[in-house]
Amino acid sequence: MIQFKNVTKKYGKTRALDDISLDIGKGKITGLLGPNGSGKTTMIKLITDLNKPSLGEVLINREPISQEAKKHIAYLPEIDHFYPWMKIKDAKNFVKTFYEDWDEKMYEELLGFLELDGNMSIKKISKGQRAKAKLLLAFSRRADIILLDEPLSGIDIFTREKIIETMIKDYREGEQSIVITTHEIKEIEHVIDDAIFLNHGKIVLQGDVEQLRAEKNLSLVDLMKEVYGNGKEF
Amino acid sequence: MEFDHSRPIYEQIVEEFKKKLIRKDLKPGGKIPSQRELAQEIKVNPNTVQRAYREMEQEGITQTLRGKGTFIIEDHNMIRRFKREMAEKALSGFLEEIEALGYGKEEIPSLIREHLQDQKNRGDRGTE
Amino acid sequence: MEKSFNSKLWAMYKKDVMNLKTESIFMLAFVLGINAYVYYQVMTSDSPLGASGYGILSAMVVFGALFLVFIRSFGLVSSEWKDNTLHMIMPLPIGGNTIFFSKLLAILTQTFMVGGISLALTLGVLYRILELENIQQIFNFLAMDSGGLLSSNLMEIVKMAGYGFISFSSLIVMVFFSSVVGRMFTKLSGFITFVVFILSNVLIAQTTRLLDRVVNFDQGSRVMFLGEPGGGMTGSMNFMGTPELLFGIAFTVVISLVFFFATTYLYDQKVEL
Repeated sequence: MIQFKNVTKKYGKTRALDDISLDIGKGKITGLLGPNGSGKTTMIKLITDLNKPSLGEVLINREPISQEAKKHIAYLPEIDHFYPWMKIKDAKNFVKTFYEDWDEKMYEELLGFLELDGNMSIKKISKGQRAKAKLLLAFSRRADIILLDEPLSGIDIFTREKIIETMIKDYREGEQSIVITTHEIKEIEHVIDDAIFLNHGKIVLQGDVEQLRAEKNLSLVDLMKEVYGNGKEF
Repeated sequence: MEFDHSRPIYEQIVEEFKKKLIRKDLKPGGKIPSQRELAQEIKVNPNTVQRAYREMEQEGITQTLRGKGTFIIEDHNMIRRFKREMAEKALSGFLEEIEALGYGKEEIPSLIREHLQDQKNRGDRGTE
Repeated sequence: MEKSFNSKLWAMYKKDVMNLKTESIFMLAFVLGINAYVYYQVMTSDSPLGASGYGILSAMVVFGALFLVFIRSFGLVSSEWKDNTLHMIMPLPIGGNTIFFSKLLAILTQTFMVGGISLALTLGVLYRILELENIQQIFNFLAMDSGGLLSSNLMEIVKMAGYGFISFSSLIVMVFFSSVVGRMFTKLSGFITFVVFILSNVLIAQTTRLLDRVVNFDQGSRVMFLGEPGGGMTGSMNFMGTPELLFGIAFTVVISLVFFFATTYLYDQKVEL
């Protein structure tokens, strides 16, 4: 459903992505894994049109990325992207204007589940709460594609579990495609269907996670150690 | 539920159901949770749970009745079969370790017998 | 339900107005402060500046306020980058046209609010100082050096205000254009914005002059553009008749549209995060 065709992305002289070709399957949860600077975030930014490929093309349902395609994409950036004056409900009211797939009931439900309050001023709440607020906006839509850029980084363990539960809670298997970048592989080990390991802008390993486990008798964490060389910490 | 992440998770979900049947936590004809419920409960990707359920259906452990849910098939022989299957698995693991210690195949039965006798003696003393 | 263009534009507009809210309040505080000072001085002391001096000070505040609005319009664009809020805007299913049109509307709203309140206060102060009987006399006072020319035709004032408004909008569009060009560079983007802003205004001034010669109105008439050196609302008043004014407006509108669409094109096609 999301296709990269010989995509190269250069920032100045550095190649963030180097001739990547792959197909991210529909209705699956795909993990983009790898150390910092391996090109994970760049891939997400290319899908949201925040970046343009230097070479090659990125297609969604065989079409170049357009405003029409953007209607069906929910994006959770790693950085905080709220306007300083926004309360959670301001952000909600702003975002929901643009999407037909916004689900107010789901929003109300998630708000409670994530222990947030619409009147919280986003500037003043904790980092974990901000992470949950971002998640709230992404998952209150019945979007076909959900892109999560490092939703777990710098977040305490309880919030992480909450975030993962949210991902699973209303997931429409077979229909919804979730792409998640992270270097916290342990946390999402049992959540992703497909894994794509990146290093220096290239794909070093990809495949169905269950199949990889069956073939290699390794957990993703151990597989990652094998792929990137032993003892390397992320 | 804790998973061993070096083995496919859907297999472990299937095994868990088999164990529940052996332990009689689940009975033939009984209803099992919906895929969504289970995914939420054990915090696993719903696609993986779906795979496990598909596997169980193919193995003839469960059947899904439209609109009613998923049920364990009424087949009591099945449980005996699972019991045997699990025992085989445990045994082959055990054998592998014992043989790695240098014991020959013919020594193993007496090894087990002695072990059981010791256990029994200890148990008898304990009740005195 | 298909989300309508209007509701999207309205959401963007509200968002931009909220972004301008705090600084608008500061601008109003500045305007109120100076006018209160002027009023106090005029009413209580025999001031060194003289009543008319304070009147001019108060009138200058109007232009000061407009200048502040203009300067801060750079900030409305650059804050989207600085606060990372473009990560919220760029993935939305809308294009640069909606994004920058809403910004223009928000800045014009601010202009009317801050400028309007400022003008009203100034008129109030002048009214008090001069003990005048009607508004027209106030304008006479404002345009002292035009020697009462204005009083003969209130319509001229309205025309000039309209032209001034269009020129101001055009200036804001130039701000957008230069900001987006600046943001296409990761380094020195502020400096590049400044240079592009100056250069594009010089370019427009030159084009105006050229067109002037081609069209060749009656002697002495010149099409003015606000960005042109020496240009401005009061300076051109004496020269302009209706055809020249209409030509000036048409030219400014065309130029603004060209720069507006160039801005949104660059934003849609070239801007990256």
